[in-house]
Amino acid sequence: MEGMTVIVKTVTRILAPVMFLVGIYVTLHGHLTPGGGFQGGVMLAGTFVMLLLAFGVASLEKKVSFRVGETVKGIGAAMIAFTAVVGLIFGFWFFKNIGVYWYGIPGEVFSAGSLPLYNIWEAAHVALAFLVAFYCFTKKESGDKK
Amino acid sequence: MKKTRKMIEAFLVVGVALTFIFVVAYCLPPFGLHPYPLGQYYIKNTLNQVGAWNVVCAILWDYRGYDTLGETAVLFAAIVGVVMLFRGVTNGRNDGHS
Repeated sequence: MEGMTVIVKTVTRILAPVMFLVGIYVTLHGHLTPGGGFQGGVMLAGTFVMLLLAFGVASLEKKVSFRVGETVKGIGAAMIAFTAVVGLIFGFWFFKNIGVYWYGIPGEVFSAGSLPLYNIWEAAHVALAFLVAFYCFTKKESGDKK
Repeated sequence: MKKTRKMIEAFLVVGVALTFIFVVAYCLPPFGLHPYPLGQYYIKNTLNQVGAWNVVCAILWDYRGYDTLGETAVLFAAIVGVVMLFRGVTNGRNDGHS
């Protein structure tokens, strides 16, 4: 795929930063407003897919390569488990939240213990996972099958 | 003859289904009543125990953390499966894994 027409490219150029920002907002405020890690991550993935469709696969792969996507996806998934295990390390149980993590002031971004952390890791995992999947789906079958 | 039998069968099935639906609908608790205290427990205690305004998020990542961890594992497994399936397809690009 080499990308689409000038109209689509211009609209994508205007919309993509806004969509990316809204995805980050939904992720960071997941414990305050409707939304959360998965929803924000899907928004980020939608931005990636829009860029991929408008500018082509090669253009996006220069910025976020397949290897980077796989790595960040794995780190996100591993950090979810690690954030849960931290409670075990400090002598509590798996998924211990308040007591290990800070309580904060309810209503602020850095509050509610480990919930923002979980949301961030989940968003990274989901966004890059969908990106990796779409990279795979845009591949074409090349002649001989292996 | 055959058509009549089919009609009778259809009416029979619909009648049995409607009977069960009405029985179940009659036995449902009234709208707005909370026969089980779990939902009220979450609404009352989330702010003290977790400190989050979004009760849904608190249930997802605190009270029912194992469930969400399993969902994440399912997504991870699905993506790994996709990557594994498309491993041999290169399209002339350097993905660094083929």
